Amino acid sequence: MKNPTKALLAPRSMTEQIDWDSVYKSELPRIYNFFLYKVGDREFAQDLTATTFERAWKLRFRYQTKIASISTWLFGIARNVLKEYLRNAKMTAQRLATTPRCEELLLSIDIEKDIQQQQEKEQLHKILLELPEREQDLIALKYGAGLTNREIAKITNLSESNVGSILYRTVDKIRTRLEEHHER
Amino acid sequence: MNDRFLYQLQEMPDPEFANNLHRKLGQNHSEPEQGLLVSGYNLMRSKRQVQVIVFLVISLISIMAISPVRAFVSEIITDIIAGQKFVVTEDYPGDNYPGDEEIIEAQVMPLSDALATFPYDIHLPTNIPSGYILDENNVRIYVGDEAGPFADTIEFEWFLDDHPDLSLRVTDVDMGEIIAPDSTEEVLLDANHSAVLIRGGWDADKKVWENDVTFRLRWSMDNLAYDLRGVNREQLIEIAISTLK
Repeated sequence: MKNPTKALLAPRSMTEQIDWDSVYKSELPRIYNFFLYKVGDREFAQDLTATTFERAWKLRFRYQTKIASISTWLFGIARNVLKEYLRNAKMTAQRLATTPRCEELLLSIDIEKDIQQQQEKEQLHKILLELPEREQDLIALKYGAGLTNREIAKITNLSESNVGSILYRTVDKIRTRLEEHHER
Repeated sequence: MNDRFLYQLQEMPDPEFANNLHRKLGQNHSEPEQGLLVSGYNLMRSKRQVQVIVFLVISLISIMAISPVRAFVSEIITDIIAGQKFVVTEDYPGDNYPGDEEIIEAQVMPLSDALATFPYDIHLPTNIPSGYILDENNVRIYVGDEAGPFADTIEFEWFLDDHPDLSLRVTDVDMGEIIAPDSTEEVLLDANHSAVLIRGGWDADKKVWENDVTFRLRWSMDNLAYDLRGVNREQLIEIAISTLK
């Protein structure tokens, strides 16, 4: 997941047949993790992922390789789905108030190390959800979806260097907040 | 930059969820839906807009060609204001059209792609009030055969406090427009360009003309029709002026 295959990301010719099953398999974890990082909730992430793919599958005959890579196209749809969802359901307040359900990951709560790791994850999720929208977006695309700065730049219409510098500052901010939390 | 800790929240989707979704996609969409393109953005609103426009086109054609359709219209006066064609009526012939309408949805793409795809050079406003943010990732465009009567058209939207508040439509299709009586006003943008300010619009739910707070400003430039929609009359005029050469 950290370095997902880029085979499907390269532009193809208009005449080349696209294997949509392969697209599904390679892009599903990326889209899902993008949403997971954005909303901090598995059920929401699954709902939003399903909506994104359903919409993409309806539209796939309109996909044009000359305009965007499949990844850029899919993440464009995903970001629209999220925007719609936040706007329509007025989810923002709810989202920020949501406690990440990371406790579900705890299979052996008697192991101290697991608990500590779990608490760190929860704290990290909380910090992510408190970030400004744009920073949160870039973190989700970079570390959730595993996209490169260049791919993120295409999706967000920011320059690649701008993406890099925003990410650098944001990672630094997150690390500082985590350290502050540890010191308490 | 040590950022490895940020990957720790990644996880694989639940296999059951992944399999179910895969199955559902295969069942529901074994054949691409050629007739309906979902824009992915404000679907309900755009559907309504598109339906209204489709009604408008069909009704105009019908009025010209089919005499029974004329009977549906209680009063029609064709008018030309600032060089633009309007059909002024208390009724709304589109709502009486008996046939099926086809919904044509836009392609949605980032600003740079949309401007590259649109076949004409357009003048985007340079004077947008502070606080408004152009939705650069979701420019809507109708081009090619699939866009049918709407080709070639491009639409932009600006958000204020996360709500769509201002939109601009540019098209080479100026087929006229159906408007309510006393809803227009001619506005001089500069010595060479005049525009038409239109108040309100047709409420498809209540089946009445609503002269609510919405304004539209329409003008022509380089054989393209510009249509700006917002809530502040003076603001629209200033924005329109900033598009002029």
